[in-house]
Amino acid sequence: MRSHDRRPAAADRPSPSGTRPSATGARLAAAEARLVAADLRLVGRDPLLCVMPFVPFLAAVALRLILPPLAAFIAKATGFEPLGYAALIRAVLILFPGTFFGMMSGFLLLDDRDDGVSAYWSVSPVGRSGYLAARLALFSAAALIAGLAVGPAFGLGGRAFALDAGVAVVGAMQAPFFALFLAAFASDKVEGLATLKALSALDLAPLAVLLPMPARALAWPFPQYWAAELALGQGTGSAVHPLAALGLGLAASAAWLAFLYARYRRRVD
Amino acid sequence: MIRVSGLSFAYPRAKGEAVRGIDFAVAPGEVFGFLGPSGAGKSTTQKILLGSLRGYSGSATVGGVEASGADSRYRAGIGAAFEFPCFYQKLTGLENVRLFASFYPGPKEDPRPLFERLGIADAMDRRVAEYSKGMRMRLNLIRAVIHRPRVLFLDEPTSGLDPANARVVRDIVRERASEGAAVFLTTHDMAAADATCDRVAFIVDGRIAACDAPAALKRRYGKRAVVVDREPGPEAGAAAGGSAAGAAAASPEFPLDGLADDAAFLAELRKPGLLGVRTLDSSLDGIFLSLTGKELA
Repeated sequence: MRSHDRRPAAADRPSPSGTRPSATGARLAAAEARLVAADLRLVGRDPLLCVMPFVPFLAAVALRLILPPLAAFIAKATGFEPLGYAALIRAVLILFPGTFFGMMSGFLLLDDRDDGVSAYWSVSPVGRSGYLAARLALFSAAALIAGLAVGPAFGLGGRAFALDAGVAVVGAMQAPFFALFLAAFASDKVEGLATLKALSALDLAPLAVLLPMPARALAWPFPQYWAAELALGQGTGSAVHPLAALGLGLAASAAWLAFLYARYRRRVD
Repeated sequence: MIRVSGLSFAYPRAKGEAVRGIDFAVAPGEVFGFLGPSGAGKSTTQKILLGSLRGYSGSATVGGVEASGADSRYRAGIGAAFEFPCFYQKLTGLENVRLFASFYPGPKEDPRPLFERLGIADAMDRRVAEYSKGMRMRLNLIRAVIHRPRVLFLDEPTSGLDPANARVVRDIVRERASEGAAVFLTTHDMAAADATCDRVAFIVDGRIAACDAPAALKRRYGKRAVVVDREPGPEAGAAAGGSAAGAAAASPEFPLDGLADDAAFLAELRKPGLLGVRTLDSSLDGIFLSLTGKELA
């Protein structure tokens, strides 16, 4: 008796549909684009999800207007210079879109899981992986673009575009992190909101760069911390080379994503 | 088109196997009913064939391809309708059908005639969140057949439907089979199975207990005898204490063997008030009960 626990090679195999392998790649690329379009339509029809992409920009613009006079007031009253930390605040803001786009994506995944749609995708040509990849890629790309735009919207603490871009890349990786975290651990949207509340502590992880060792090391597993090291830049507040900080941020993100993806698959299978 | 041989599967940490060495085949153009009580192994078998469950032993192929190797090309030839219809609630019925259909290669049907035939044309442009269960079931069937799959997996396709709509669903299933599709139909609805399936298999505790055409099974599990029904006379009503008023009165049973020369049977036919002659075939309900020991819900 044979056991079938491994996927055999797909090439040169007949299929029920009789389609050719050469057509499959292009067809799947088009399929991913259609999934993205469907997600955009779903977001457009949800009043809550519709406003989420704008929240980081509202926060950035509000801080741009409020922070300088407030900082001047605080400096005059206490001698403490908040604007000395503008680069760190900028990094936190650039990370925000990853959080918000991740929340949107996570809520869509929760809806799909509750409605059984994710199970249906698994028996379609797209497959569960293709469906998930399209969704996570869409919201990560959106988070990257928004992350790049949030820095200029804030307008303070800017150093080099490359540093902003590096932080935005780490921020974009947070979209799938939040999405998979919600889908893997929350049972429904209510639980999802509670989970998000707990996860919001991660927004403070970049502030760990201000802590002395060994307390600072507690934030090392979190990509947001490395984004702050990256934003501060070597010689101007960080002892870590920006490329090393970027690499560590991406590595930490990848490790989290691998763990969360495995949890998500266990939950939906 | 579907071939299952020595198929066994055990869920992780489960005490026993959910499916225990089953064999069957479904030919193109055939509607194959897979019947059995909850937990008997129906859904497990279907999930294996859909490529959703791996780690089985034996063989389960669709179109000659082993289900453990199910990829996008494998799934492209399949149409599936789950027992619990799942759709994007914020999209309309038509948007849902078009979205899912767009991922299948080859020409698709125009969904509008199917919406009309299934009586949900008026709701085509309404969000699925506003659909009743019956409407979702019909939408479920449209999504499963819109890309003209060569293999159809249908789980309780008539659940929650009124008799008229259930009939339309059965007609569509039969039509797809007549066009060459192999249909694997899982159901508790024995009447639907009887009316739709070319063959049915009863699965009990992971094993196939019986598999044949419904008519052959009904004969096999029934009595080789007939009874004569006639309008109840005064004596029949008195014998039944008056409770059988309006119901047909049945004669004693007459064995099929030698029926043409059975004088008592012929005499029964000559009596006034003849309504009909019935064979004592079993019903699929009765066979289900005798094989599983469980009443149908």
